[in-house]
Amino acid sequence: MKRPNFLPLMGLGALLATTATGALAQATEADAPTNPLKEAYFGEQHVHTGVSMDAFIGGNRLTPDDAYRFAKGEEIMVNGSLHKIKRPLDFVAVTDHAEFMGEAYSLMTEGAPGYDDEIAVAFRTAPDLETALGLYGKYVLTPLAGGGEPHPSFFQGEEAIKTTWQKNYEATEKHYNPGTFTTIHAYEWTSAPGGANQHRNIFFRDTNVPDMPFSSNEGADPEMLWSWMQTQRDDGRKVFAIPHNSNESKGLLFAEASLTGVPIGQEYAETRASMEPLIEMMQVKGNSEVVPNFWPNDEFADFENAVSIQRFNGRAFVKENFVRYGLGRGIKYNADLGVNPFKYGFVGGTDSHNGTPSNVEEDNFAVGSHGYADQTAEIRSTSVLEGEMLISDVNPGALTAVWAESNTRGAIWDSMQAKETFATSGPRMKVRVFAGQGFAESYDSYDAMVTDGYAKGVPMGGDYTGTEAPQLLVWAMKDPIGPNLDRIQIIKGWYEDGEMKDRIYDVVASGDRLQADGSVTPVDAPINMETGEFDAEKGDPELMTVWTDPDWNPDVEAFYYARVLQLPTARWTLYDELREGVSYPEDVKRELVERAWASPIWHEVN
Amino acid sequence: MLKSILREPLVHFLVLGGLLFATWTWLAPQESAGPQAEVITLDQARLDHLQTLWTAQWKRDPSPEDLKAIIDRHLRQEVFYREALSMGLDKDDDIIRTRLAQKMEAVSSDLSLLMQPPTEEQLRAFHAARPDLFTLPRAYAFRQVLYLPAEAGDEALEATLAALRVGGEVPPDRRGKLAMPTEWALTPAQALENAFGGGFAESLSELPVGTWSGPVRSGLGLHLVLVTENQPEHLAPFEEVRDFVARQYEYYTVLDAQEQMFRELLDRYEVRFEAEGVPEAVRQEYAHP
Repeated sequence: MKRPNFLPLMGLGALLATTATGALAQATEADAPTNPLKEAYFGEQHVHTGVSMDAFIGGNRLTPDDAYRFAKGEEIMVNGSLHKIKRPLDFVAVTDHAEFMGEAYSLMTEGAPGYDDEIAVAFRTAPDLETALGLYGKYVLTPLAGGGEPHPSFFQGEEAIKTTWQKNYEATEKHYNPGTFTTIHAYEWTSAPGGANQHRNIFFRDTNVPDMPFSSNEGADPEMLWSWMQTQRDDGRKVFAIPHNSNESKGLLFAEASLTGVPIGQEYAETRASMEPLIEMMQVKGNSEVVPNFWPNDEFADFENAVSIQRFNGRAFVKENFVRYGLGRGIKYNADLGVNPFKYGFVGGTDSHNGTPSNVEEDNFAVGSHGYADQTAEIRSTSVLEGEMLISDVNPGALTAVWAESNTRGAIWDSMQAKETFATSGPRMKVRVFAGQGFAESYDSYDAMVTDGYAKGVPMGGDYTGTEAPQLLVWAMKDPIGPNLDRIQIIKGWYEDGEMKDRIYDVVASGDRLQADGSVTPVDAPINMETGEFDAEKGDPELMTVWTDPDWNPDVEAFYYARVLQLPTARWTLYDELREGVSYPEDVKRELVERAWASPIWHEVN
Repeated sequence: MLKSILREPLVHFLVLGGLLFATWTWLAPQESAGPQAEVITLDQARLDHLQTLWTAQWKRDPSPEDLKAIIDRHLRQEVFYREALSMGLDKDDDIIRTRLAQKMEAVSSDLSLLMQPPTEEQLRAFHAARPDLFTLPRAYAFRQVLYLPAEAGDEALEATLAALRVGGEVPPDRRGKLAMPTEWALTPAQALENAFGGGFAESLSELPVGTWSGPVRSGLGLHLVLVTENQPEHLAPFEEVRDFVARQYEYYTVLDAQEQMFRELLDRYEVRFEAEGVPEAVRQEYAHP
């Protein structure tokens, strides 16, 4: 549409501040400041705008252009309320569904063929949640589940898909400001055969992108996606994929066989490892790390598990849904095949269908994340996200941090491919991990520590290749506007005597709480249930230690990843109760322990 | 599919219209195709347009049977459309109202796109007229030395502060503490609060410029701070933000054009509020001058 959006540009202070501090002219990648010791850049790698038809039906009329403005800190009209995030992001990839991009063109472009089609009109003018959900189920969920004709009647064909993809491309180009704000060309490939989630987001390194994305309409099997990606690589494009919602995969994401039933062999494993460096650990629809049922010894496993997912689509939880299982199964494959198909580093995302990247703050969830479905506290406290889960089980989503030398596409994409990343459940804490030999117990400065880390070890996402028990140098700092840290844990997984095993080590805790036997005295720092405030005194702003694996065996495959826990904070449900006067059922959580997960480091035997 | 069509307001409208028409015909039978019959012309342009739409939807050219269906449908629609108009069924239909209003608004936007590029004088005038858009927030430039709460003994802080005040270097073990830079170029207060937390930015406003002072508390710990510049909120100089001014000018001109057209058209009408419960402010706003 040629007309501007309904509201004037908001948040100009933030925009202007950037403008005035030196980014007046369009900066170039070469001019972007670099730091060889790398900075943690925070951003979003999974968000839908109105271009995703399910989001459109849910009431979202925002474009990728709006999403990027929101990410830069501007105030945007979201489902009828002005909304903004507290802190601008460093980078964003908008990942609209490829499957209905052509429809988006007809729905959103006045005068385009199909705009006046009855169904298109119904989509645009759905007056309430019930109508919208009816349309959503009929024209999105059912086709996505593989039930029927994938396109509604107003679809205008391939050219419409190309037009939308081109429009997304242009918005992504327009907002790229190297050194300040990075945008990445991306989309979502959405396949869920039999309701088993196989979804993947696809990321391109630069402006060399195809003229049309490959959707599940062209191929619903991940192997077909990878094969298309290979042809892209053969044509000189740089691309990788990131799967998400393994918790909704019915055990098929970390399976024993391909989707067509062929047992996983070397070729499959090599292809998958090459195409998929990362996995989305957590998002709005749950944390996929672990659940208490299958990891009863993990006292922090009960965290945003979104258990009500199991009530829909036959998505009962099985151990094979979860990332820690996948990492273990991966090293087992490595022992058997000589290659690990599940060698995944970690990212986090929202999967917001509001066009609102990284709208992850618990105390700022006023507009929800799925259009009409959760736009007010009143709806959230009583409703279901149709076909998915209870809204009270939803969380605002997770965040990705990338250790990169500069805030540019190339640097961020390269660090993602190298898995030098960590996911957080929302806060901006930072964590670094190096595995090697000869680290000091303490350093004079942060720079000295990082320099030594790279000199004597490999960073997160790498392979430890030493011949002695690995030393892990781990460091974390708090989110400046959040509470202090509780502890850092190392989660070790290994494959021994035909069994996948894992164990959690508490390696450093605030104060003097780490006991000689390795246990930690719990930090008693409850939140204020009347205000939602956290304890600002207990815990430490920074934690650092060097931990040596006490049970190392050079002949055993292993992985290690760090998990950082902060002090308890209030969950969005408590803010809804305090601010909006609604009440959630007794068993809904009001408090949570936010965390960060650093990408693993592997010890491979072959 | 069928269910959703049955729920579609347009269908209700057509069905209702059809019923009315049937009733009306039965009550007041008329001669058909008499000498005064209205003419429906299907000219070449119209037929071409219909065929193009069909081709776009079906991805092939229409066969002769398809062509018959296209023409049948068009004539059927045209007849119902005209009869509906003559019965005034277009009045007070929400969908039709919305659609027509949208078309008219689009016309006013299109007009503004025909605008000439703004002159330098226009941009300067806009910059001067809208300080709300071009005011930079309070900002600080400073150096800081961070002590975590556990390290922040009074003696150590005082010793370091004294050394810094007589020109001492930042102690090596304090450089890049918690990965926080020592030097901070001019940065808006809100961005500083996000980076440090705990009310740090607010505290900076009370510090002297040019002298090491503190300690000041943040979300991270205690800081010794040398504020080198405390820049109050101020209007950004035009030269520094010219491109930004141009973007805002364009944006607001389009909005203004729409608003202006609305006001001009509104002047042709007198708005009477006969309903109760209309707020006084609204009555005033639409009162004819």
